[in-house]
Amino acid sequence: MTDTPTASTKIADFVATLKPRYENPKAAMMPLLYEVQARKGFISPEAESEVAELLGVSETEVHEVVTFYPLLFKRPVGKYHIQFCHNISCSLVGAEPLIDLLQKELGVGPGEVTEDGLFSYQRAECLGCCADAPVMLVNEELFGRLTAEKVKSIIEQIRAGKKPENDTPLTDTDETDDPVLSVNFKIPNAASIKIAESRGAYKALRKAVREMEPQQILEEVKSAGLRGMGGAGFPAGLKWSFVPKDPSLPKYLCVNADESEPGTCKDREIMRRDPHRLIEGAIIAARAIGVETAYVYIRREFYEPGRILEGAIQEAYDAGYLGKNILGSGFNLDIFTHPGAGAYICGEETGLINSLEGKKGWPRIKPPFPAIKGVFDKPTIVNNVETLSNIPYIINNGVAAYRRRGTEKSPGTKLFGVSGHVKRPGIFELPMSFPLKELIYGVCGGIRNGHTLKAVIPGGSSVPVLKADEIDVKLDFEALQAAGTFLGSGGVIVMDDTVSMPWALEVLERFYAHESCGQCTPCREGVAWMYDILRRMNNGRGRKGDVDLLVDLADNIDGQTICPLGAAAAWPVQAMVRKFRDEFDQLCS
Amino acid sequence: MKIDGMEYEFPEGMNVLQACESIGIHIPHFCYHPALKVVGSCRMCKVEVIQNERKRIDISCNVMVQDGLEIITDSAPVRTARRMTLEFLLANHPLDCPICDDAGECELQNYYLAYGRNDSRMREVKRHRRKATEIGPSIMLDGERCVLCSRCARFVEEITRTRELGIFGMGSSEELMVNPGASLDNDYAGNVVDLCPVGALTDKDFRFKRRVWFLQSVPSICQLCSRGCNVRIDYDINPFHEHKRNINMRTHRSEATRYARIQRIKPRVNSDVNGYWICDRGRYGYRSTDAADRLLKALVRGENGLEESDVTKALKQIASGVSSAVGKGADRVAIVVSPRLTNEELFAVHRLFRERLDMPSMDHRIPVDPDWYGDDLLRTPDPFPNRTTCEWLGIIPADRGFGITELPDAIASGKVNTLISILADPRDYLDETAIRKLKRRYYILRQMPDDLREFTDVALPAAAWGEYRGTFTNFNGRLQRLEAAFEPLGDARPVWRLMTDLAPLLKKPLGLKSFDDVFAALTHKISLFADFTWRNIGDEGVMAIRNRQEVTA
Repeated sequence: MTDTPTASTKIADFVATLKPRYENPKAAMMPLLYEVQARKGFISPEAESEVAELLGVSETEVHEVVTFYPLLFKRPVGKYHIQFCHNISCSLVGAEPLIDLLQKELGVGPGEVTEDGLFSYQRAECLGCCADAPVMLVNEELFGRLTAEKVKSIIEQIRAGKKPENDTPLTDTDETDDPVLSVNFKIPNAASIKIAESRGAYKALRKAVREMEPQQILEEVKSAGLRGMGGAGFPAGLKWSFVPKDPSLPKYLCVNADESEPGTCKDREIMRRDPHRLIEGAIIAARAIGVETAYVYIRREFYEPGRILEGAIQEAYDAGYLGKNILGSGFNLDIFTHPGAGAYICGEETGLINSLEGKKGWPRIKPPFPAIKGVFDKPTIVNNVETLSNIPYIINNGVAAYRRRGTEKSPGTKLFGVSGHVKRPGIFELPMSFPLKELIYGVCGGIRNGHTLKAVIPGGSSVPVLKADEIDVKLDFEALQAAGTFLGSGGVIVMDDTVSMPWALEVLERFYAHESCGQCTPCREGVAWMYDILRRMNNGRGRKGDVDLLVDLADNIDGQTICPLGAAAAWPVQAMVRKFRDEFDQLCS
Repeated sequence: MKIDGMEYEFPEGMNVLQACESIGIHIPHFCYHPALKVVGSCRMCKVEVIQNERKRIDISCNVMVQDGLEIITDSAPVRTARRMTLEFLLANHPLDCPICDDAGECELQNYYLAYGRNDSRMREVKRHRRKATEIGPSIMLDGERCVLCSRCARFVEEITRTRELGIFGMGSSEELMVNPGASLDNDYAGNVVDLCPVGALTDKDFRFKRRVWFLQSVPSICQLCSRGCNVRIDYDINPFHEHKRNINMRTHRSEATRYARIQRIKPRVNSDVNGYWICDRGRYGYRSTDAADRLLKALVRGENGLEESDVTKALKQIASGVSSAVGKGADRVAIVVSPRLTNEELFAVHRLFRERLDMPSMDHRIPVDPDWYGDDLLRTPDPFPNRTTCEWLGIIPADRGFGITELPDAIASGKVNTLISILADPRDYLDETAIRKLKRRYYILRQMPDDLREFTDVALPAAAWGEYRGTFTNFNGRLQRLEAAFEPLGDARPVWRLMTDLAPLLKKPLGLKSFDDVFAALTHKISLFADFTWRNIGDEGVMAIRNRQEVTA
């Protein structure tokens, strides 16, 4: 598109609609950059200047953002831009040969555009659809359970000018006898407000605004013992209680929908299949904390879940559950979605806050904690999608009902995303403290035919691995910690006897080296160093001393950084080397 | 709270790093800078923190002092953490120390000596970044030496608000750079070199000029505006350091000086005057001291035009000229004094010409260069360092005297026929016709432009910045000291010395033999200085009045 005055007038109008959403207009940067990218295909230096002027910020700030995020294109991409996931869950089920095939079919390397301008591709880190692996995004459409035939056929159909057939099955799911979160997962069209309401949606909201004081809501959530489901397991009610009570102070709620820890694909299902549960939970949380503006920070790769969620938010506005004077209570709340741009670090709550403000997703040093100084330096609560989605149930049914599942310290249920070498990968809601062995061999049908279990990463790629003989553990925060690992985000990655641990570790460290934000010395320099060593090892050029060096580097990255990414990169190294040392030593003799 | 087993008290709001420094325990750090926002990213300043009976390693820049806190600054875990941070920083560092300008004042070197000293375990291919990149008219960037501490980027964001620099990209491939198409070209750009803890940002003016360990330093005061920023003159006068012709070390040199003595100017921290910064005008404005057109001998107009002479003869010439002019009225001699003189020099001029000879036509108000401008950071609107003392001494026309603005008429009507212009080129305030009409034109100058020679009858060589000691009083009434780095070139000498030598020739001896005498007499003369001695002014200066701006407001 040419830079006609009309075009720039329109973009100014677009900016005008964005600005009121944010205390600081700079926060409109990301949606605005996407708008520019949608119009022009990529973000040129001239476009950066235009964005800087529209938002009243320096060109340097815009350039920092554009160069930081992988999904902001600095160069033109093909009409069909493919992001192929090469992270652990997809690699376990054959992503690499498929990427080779794709590259051969297209005849271009990553970042290049085919001569006809039709295709370009990039390797992507986890797309958050691990139970559907291997997956790729073609522009905004996700294709899962890929095979060589499917990849070829998709390319051929596009070349033939057809819309490619998408036979990706809906992510497999199942729930416990007594579900909290996934009750609507198998109900068709549960994302529509009519159906959601017919199944009880917004009943808890009515109760919360009409019968309960904010403090009562907070106390209820606190007593329910609801834990943060993003990975850290911090008690949600306790987190809320850190927010200053001063009603004159604006406060914010951020819904963390940046699900991107490899192996984790649970929040996506909530947003796709039951978005009103999340919205209702967020409204009740906002009421409890005294928030009038909430943002859903959603990773850009979640195009479909994002559209469904946005539709549901609109329905909630239309039904009077959002906006001014909600259900006649005098309580006001706006919810806006805000896109990420392919940076894992923005799932860390302060990285998310900086990204939301239109900056690079560099985590902030604490103190101050977000509950005191978060978005726009105001008190802010960042809660995970799954965490908030538990709240309607707690309000409707009370603490005792919620607590009849799980343990004293880990009550309720958890959504587990199982990927890798199981017969039945999928998303399963199970009570906390469910046995891991039962999940793998019962719910998921065991290891694929002809193979045996070798290792399990029980809580997303960063948590320490368990060997096959260590899986007799319960899936809750305390039991897994006692077993030397973590429940994390509930992303269970199952590896069979075909998997080389040094190879798996290289895939993981490639991810962390790629996703290190670059701020802290040990993580920026050390993780890339560990990845280089592993790559060399796996290429047959290991040396004596490499394994000890690897562990020493990991030990000195762990806990030495602003945010937990350094530790998340170190734990897999520490655990895999400790538990599978022979495999590493063999490569370094 | 406790640091290394000893109890201390600190004011609230101080971080542990500052607290440790205040008791003389240096905590190594790269990203922390007291004038910039804390980012806590380099991870070098780690200490052990014991709080509520729990021990942890934390960065001292982001832990605030508080009751009951216990800090251990040196222990095995602390040393390991620092050693590892260094190992990570050095993993991809080019280790080109022999050709690095920062060698000798590089924190990587210093901390490696203190905490590293390990054999490198890095066996991978080092990451490469852009080297020797010109990012502004005065600044070079070596991306491979950069430790990404972001001090420079925060400086242009928080202090100059010009934002030319950013950290672009992500993770291990990110780099510090000027925004594409931009140039690090602002009035304070040179400060990023001082901020850079390593050799990533170097000063084009100093690159490859001298090894820093050859430099000597004296504290001084910038003379290029009325703020009087505290600076350090880094100089080298050891002839053995003059570089061999076959070594390609660049230096500005001239016939007169053989090689330049001042190598660079660095700011000295003074939170009451300039904080941590100086402007580029002050940083790079030192070359006049060793410039080729320095006046090294006195000049006297004789039968064959302007000729070199010894200073005594030139002084005699002035004395006789002044005497005969004064014979027909003291107002016939106009004395124009630049507010660039030190207090001691101004005092000696004033004592001789006003107090002893009662000359009314005396002024310091030479026009300000129209290109000069002030700003809201350091540069003041007045490009002269010492107008305050001119005003306090009263270097302005007395009754029946002529000021600078009245001089053209006074010269045209013959009421003034003799001019003594001190550290001021007369063409800055008089046109050539007026200068030609004068009967006697006596100048005291540091530099002698060739095209001024035809308008000169006697010129005396004055000592230049770096060659004299003295004091200035800044725009705010702050009295500050300058130390001499080296002897004046040639026959040049401070103006006060020329005055004490001229006075007996005019039969008005001043009775001042040394600098100390002049300084003591000055403190008697200006009552605001009564309490001050050379020693108690100190390196940071003293306020002669509470606050001039407050007083006028």
